[in-house]
Amino acid sequence: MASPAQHRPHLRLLPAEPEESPRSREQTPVSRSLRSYADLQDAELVALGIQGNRQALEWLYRRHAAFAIHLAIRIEGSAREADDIVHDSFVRAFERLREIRDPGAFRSWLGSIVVREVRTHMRRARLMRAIGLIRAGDPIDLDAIASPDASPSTRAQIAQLYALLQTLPVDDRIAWILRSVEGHDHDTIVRMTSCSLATVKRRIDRAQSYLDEHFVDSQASENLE
Amino acid sequence: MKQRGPCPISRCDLRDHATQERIDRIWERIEADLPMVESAAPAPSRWIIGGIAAVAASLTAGLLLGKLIWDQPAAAIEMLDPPAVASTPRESSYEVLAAATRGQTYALPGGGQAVLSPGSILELLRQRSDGVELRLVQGDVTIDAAGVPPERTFAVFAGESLLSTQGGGRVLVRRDDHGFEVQVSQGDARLQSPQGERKLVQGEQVRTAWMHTPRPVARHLSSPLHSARVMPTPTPVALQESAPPVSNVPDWLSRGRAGDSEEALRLLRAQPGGIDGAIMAASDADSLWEIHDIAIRQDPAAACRALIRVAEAFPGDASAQLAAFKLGNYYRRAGQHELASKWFALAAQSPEGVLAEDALCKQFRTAPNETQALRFAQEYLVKYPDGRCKEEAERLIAGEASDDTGESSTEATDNTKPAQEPSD
Repeated sequence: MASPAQHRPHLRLLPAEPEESPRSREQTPVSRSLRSYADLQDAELVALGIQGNRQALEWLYRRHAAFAIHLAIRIEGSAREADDIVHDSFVRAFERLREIRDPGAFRSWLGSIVVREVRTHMRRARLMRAIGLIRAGDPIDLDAIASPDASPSTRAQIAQLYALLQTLPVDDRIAWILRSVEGHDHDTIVRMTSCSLATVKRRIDRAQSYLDEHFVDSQASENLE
Repeated sequence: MKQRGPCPISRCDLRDHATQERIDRIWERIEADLPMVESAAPAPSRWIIGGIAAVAASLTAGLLLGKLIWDQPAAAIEMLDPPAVASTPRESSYEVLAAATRGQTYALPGGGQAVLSPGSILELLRQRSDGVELRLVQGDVTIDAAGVPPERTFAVFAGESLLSTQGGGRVLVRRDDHGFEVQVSQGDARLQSPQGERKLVQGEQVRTAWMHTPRPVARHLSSPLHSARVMPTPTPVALQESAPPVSNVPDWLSRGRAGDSEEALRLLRAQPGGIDGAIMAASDADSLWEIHDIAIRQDPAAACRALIRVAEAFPGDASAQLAAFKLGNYYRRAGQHELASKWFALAAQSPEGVLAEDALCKQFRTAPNETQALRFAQEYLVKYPDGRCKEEAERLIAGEASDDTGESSTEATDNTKPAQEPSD
């Protein structure tokens, strides 16, 4: 029988896999007319976008939409407001395109805007729950998070994980998801959350300590038995 | 029986929401909300617009020139009677290297390359026999001096700070309205600022904020007087007068942040007073956490001392509760249950923190005697009547032994039991 020590509650997700290439999504009737933009780098599209080139903006959007949608849903744990968050994030990004410091790093800059938007939504939701405008303790939207192809036990783990994350402070939750689910390094999380490296580390650490205490891996338990 | 354990979830177990339909739907909304801006105009219109812009620019330049002369008599005098330095024969032609919508790579005089990102502007100030002097006006530039003899120097003025590197080095310098950033990817570099000089080694990255708001770049560039009035002759004196601040990050911290814990620990131990000197000298909780992170693997006792100082010297810091909680776990794993209980008690005192309930739960599990365990269990039930340790606390009060978690108040005397906490 395996020792319990082998199943210590060290809650880590598997290393992040690269996002699906947007190219596969680009070969659609809608984007066919944009094909001449396909070879442009983000920095070039940003420069064109600053000049008011809508096609460049659309290309930027289509290249990074999947990233933004996944980021929003995985942080919030719900798909209900994902459209609004992604819409607001891109509109804000396009309005402030001139402010981008490193046009080549459009993706992480956009990520910081998405994180800020999700954070605003989550804080608003908490406030509304606190004053009773929406129901407290909403169930986890498991279908929004877990793949339908995931095994029942994995879906149960994901449900438990997000139920625990819901009880964490918003900032701790965001930092942990960016690190453990999205697989970003600390420096990227620093840029996305606009706080210091030390703060990011402590937020992840605190969330990890909490999850380690509370997460119950029934699968590991069954194996033990 | 339920066990806490690892959670092997990969991203392929998470749902893909980025369907084409959704992407199209959101784009329609975004497009409707975009400001009414014109797309790139066809070629003939561009010429017309370009012509109009050229005329407008000429008029504006003329007006600006007149205004500057009118407003600044000194500038006019300077033009009519330029100072000696301006009349000195220039050592090289005054050049501007720029990248528009695409990045550009320029060969530098005497060897090496300047790689400019889109929108970046670099001035070639001076060409010397032993190197070049450049000024980054905006954006970012990578000075790639691979294959250049090491005696050749490359000096880059970013704002009014000076970064220099030798042949063989590769350095990125970036500036914006808020400050500038340096990344050394090869070789080493030297950064000069009013706070002194600092050597940067391969892999280091420094970001600093401006002390004074730098002169607006656009005006600086567009002024037709720029090259006539001011011969760019940056000197160390000028730098000393108005250079921006450099973040005074200790070497051990730089190495720690770069992931080189071994070297960081060596540098920490070389501090005055050793690692304890660094712990006592730390002026904030963040620095102490950095020491903890560096020392935790090779010198866990020092890591604990750093956390003790976080909890004791910075009790109001947001991380103080986490520090106490971790100390509780460390001491518990080391079999020092009285100390563990003390730190769990401190962690439990912060009702706002998410770890308060867990800390109190651990307090009655690790209490050094039964009386204290009962007291903590009662306190737990009062504070957290529906808490996750409720049943365990109730059983303890009822005089039963807890058996479903593998943890109980009796573990205080059982040091051989495998720890159930994560390895921090």
